[in-house]
Amino acid sequence: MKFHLLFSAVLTAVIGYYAQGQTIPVTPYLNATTSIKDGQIEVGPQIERPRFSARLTARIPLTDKDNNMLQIDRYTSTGRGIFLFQYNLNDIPETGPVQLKSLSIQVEAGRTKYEYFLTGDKDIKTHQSRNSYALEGKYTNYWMRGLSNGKQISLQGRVRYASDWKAADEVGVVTTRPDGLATTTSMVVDPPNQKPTLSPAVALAYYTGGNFPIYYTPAIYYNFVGKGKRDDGTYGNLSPLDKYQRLRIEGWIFFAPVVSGSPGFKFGVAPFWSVRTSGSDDLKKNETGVMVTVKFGSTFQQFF
Amino acid sequence: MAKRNKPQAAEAVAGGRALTLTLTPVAGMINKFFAFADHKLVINGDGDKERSWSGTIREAQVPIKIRVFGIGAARYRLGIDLPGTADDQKIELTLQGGYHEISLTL
Repeated sequence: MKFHLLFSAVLTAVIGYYAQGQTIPVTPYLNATTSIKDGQIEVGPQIERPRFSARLTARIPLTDKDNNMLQIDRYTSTGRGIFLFQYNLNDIPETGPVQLKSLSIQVEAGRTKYEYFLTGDKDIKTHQSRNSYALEGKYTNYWMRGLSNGKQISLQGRVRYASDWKAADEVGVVTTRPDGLATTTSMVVDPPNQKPTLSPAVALAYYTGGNFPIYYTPAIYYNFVGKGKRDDGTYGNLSPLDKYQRLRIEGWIFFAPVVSGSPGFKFGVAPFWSVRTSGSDDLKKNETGVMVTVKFGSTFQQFF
Repeated sequence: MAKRNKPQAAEAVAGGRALTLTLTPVAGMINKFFAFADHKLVINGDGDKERSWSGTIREAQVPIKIRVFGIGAARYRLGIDLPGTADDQKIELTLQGGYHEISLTL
């Protein structure tokens, strides 16, 4: 067996067993956590104590999404490391109202490899690897009345700064074959571009109580987006303030019916309104519409 | 709101009885599971999946209290396992207006 094949680790069996998400106790306060979501696998250790929790994970795109398989070898070039620390301040008595407060900080760093065809020739490929970073702070305050038909309220705030790279869009390249026939091939011809973003947001989940399974979560987002480019055209400008700003308001209504075999199922609908407050982007100044979501295994307090 | 005394984590009791409590969402949305054994908080977890606690309780009568928060008439299952004392017991319970609590003595 050649050396590079020895380095090729295939995690099919492990991923197949732990698909979707799993936490495995290792010691009384240390767990191993793994999950598969959006075509990526995330694994790492997690410490859980009553007052705080900490988690350090690696997130890597699956090599074969259909079979939930990740192959790690010398060609693996994309991944992200995530560190999350959460501090809890809870008041959980045996009777009466319950209040859960938490403050968390998450730091992310990753590297992604991009491919594009500068000359429009599929035989001449250019590679570029770029680093992305993100920093996120989140505050959650969840208050429960503690009685039947009692209210439940969850106030959540989040501030996220991210400096992410994104592949350029594909364009159609017209080429002429030796027999004179012109064909069009879609490919990425431009290098990736950088997009620094600062995004504060706040949401208020509100359940009035009663047996009708409906609750509300209005949310407000404000995005600051930067050009990523300096005046000389090179990338590396991390300011999120120089391209455009946009305010977005969503009015979520969630319906959580009692469905046997599907705990945590919910169906959500939200009219939204988005208005650009400065700069320019690819959308109209005012955008409106409706969002719809279906989730399984979800809870009232999970929003951001 | 007046400051309340916070329950403490459970401690091992020498020469006591082994106990396992299991809380499992069954249908509808369960938000939080809380369980107290002998007035100590032993389970504090989101209701999106099964939560359990295994420990030792004293031989004398021990109060157990379960508090579950959810949406509407969601359902959950409470499991109690006292090896050597009683067979596994499982009971399915329904929230009333998003809340349910049950107290028992073991």
